[in-house]
Amino acid sequence: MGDRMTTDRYAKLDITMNIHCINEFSPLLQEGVELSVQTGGTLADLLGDQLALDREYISSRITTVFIDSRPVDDMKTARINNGATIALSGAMPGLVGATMRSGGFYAALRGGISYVADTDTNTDRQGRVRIKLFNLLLSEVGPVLLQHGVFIPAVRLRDFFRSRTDNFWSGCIEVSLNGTAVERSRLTEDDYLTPYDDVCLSVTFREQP
Amino acid sequence: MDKIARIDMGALGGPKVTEEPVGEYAGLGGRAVTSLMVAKEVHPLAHPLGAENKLVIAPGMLSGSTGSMTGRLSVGCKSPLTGTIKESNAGGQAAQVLARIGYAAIVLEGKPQGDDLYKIIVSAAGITVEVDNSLKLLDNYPLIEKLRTQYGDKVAYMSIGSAGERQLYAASIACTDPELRPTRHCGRGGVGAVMGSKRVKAIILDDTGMKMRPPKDPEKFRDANRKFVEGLRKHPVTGEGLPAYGTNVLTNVLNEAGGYPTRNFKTGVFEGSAKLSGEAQAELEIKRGGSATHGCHRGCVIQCSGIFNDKDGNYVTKQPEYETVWSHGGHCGIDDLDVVARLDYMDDNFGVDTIDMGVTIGVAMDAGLIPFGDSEGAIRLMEEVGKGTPLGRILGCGAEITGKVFAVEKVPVVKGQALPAYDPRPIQGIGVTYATTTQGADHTAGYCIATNILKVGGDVDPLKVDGQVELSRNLQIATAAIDSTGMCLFIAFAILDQPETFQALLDMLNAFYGTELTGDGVVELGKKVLSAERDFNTRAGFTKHHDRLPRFFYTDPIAPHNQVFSVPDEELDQLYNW
Repeated sequence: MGDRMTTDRYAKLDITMNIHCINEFSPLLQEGVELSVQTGGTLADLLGDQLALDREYISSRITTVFIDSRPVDDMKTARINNGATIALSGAMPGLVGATMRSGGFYAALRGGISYVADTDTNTDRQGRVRIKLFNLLLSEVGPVLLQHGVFIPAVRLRDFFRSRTDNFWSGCIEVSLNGTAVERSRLTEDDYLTPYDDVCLSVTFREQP
Repeated sequence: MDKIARIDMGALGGPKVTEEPVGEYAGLGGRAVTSLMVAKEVHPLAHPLGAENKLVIAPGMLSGSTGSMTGRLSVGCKSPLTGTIKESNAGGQAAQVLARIGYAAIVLEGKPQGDDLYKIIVSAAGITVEVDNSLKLLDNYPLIEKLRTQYGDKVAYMSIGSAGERQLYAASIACTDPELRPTRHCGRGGVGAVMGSKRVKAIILDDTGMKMRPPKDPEKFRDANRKFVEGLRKHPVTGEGLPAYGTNVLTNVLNEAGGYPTRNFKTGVFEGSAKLSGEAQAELEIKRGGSATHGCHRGCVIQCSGIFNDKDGNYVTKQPEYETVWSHGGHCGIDDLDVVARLDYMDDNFGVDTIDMGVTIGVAMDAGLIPFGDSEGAIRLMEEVGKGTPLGRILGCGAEITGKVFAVEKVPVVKGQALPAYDPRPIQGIGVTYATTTQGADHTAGYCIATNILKVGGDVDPLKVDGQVELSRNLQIATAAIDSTGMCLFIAFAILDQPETFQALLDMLNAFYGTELTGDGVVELGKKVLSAERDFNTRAGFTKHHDRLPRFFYTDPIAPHNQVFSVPDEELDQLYNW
């Protein structure tokens, strides 16, 4: 993941959005965002304890999981290291979709790339992981990650804001940078976010009257 | 569905129609009818474009009924692309209408002399075959528009575009969807070329005056269908994922797994995949006033398709499938959904298989005709196919021929048919199916059809690292059976996970036919179909040495997992031992 994983040069950006704009963040979430988490524990604990996702939800909806491109069959034994990339998906169609399913009947068809738990995992350290969300989980888990706070390279975040249409901006209720309210139009300016390496983006969704 | 129509296109004095009772094919449908008939009646050494080949068109067992997901139409013949037996199926309205008219199969035989082009009109009054040279070299969209002015909107159409008329080996047969667009294709294996060789441009299916096919036990059928639909709706794949994103929901996951073949299978990860993903596609479709949820035929409850509009809100094409987005996208290094959609439209319009065409363009890129990522170049190559130029004819005959003509060493085909969108090196199990299927490389030949419930081949440890051959065998048997019912393959997920939904499917079949089909009976049907296909291929000269992937899959590791295909030949050779 490189130096970006440990930099302290980040800004804190808080946005309040109309709840109907959740899907606007899909491009960021499917390519992945970084979270500061306690590493060394299991993926099940990361999702259940640190991100406070319901355990029943995790087992029933997050049915396709990758750690560093390797399909995971058991989230309770898969351990998360600093710098890991985790991809979470709902159930997938197709034989290969079924093949990738966690602990699925056809897992043997991709046996050569399946995740094998790392025995040398360092425990209880603060680190960063990159989480990608796909399909149904974008709108279901996306708000949880965004509320938790996600780290995004400033240039990428600026480009993301520049790619948003009126639907996004009309749903953007409040913006503050490092605790100070700012005009939302500033987010797309060349030199507003980019002096920082990273931006810690937190998004709160609410019903807009 | 108690009769079979045979149309001898080469009869003296012009095409001759005869009808016969359904006979030994009673109670069968789809792939069972097409493959058993081709295996029995077509000389295995016949030239696929010659008079000896036959084109068998068969609806599914429940097509034309009120049952859900029953609208697949099978087309079978000896394939010009692979030289093997071929079954290619599609959605759309054709199966439902043909079944309601009462035909278990229509068989095109012989080959006419001369250049006349024919259309066939099938209705309750019978079958007529007419010369219509005004249709010559029309592509599918303008062809259907022209036919609609004469036959209206209450019929279904099957047709070939210019590629089929030119008998290009990647040519498809189009079936119209509920909006009468020629978007649903029997795509694989060059079945459109066989229809073109018979000089049949279009088949008009008119079920005016016909009712839904009645089940033997209407009440039981209605109850089973209700449970079946409930099962589909409550399953996260068929009830949520597919309706929301379509099959292209797979792009992100395959890319994440390192199994997304990129730039002619050079790596397993495409940097532009997020721009091509089903999630991005659905968002774009909705924003532009199209739709991310659409059924290819009436009676579909999954609704995995959609409508893709351009930036001005004008219709471009139906929602391209995952395999299409891959073949024209990542396989060619292209990350623009608008380009993919335009190419998909051209595929449908000219009437060519989207997988084979996309793979062929990627092979042409590898040959240096145009660079990888050249969107405009890809469109220009497709235009060559539409124009029927010498280059276009080469490209339209698929990846294998294009690779030979341009001296490309690494051409991803098995038995002449292009590999679909799943790299067999990280996902070895699908490589087993690609190598051994009777159809040439085909991801749908071994689908996830509830082998766990059917117990095909007994219990298999799901986490066993080896055993891919056993799994593939079981999947191919089960898939052959489901293909024979004419049910959409996407029911697989619900019946895989929900035994009660699988039972509901059996109950539908039994209530309809008054039979007592069990899971074992389904397995036996699958074995019967596969055995007939395998036997045909053997008589056509295919041996175990054809059941192999191209050599580069054994020698060139693919990133990020740096694996090669490593299933031993001896294991592949065990697939048909049952």
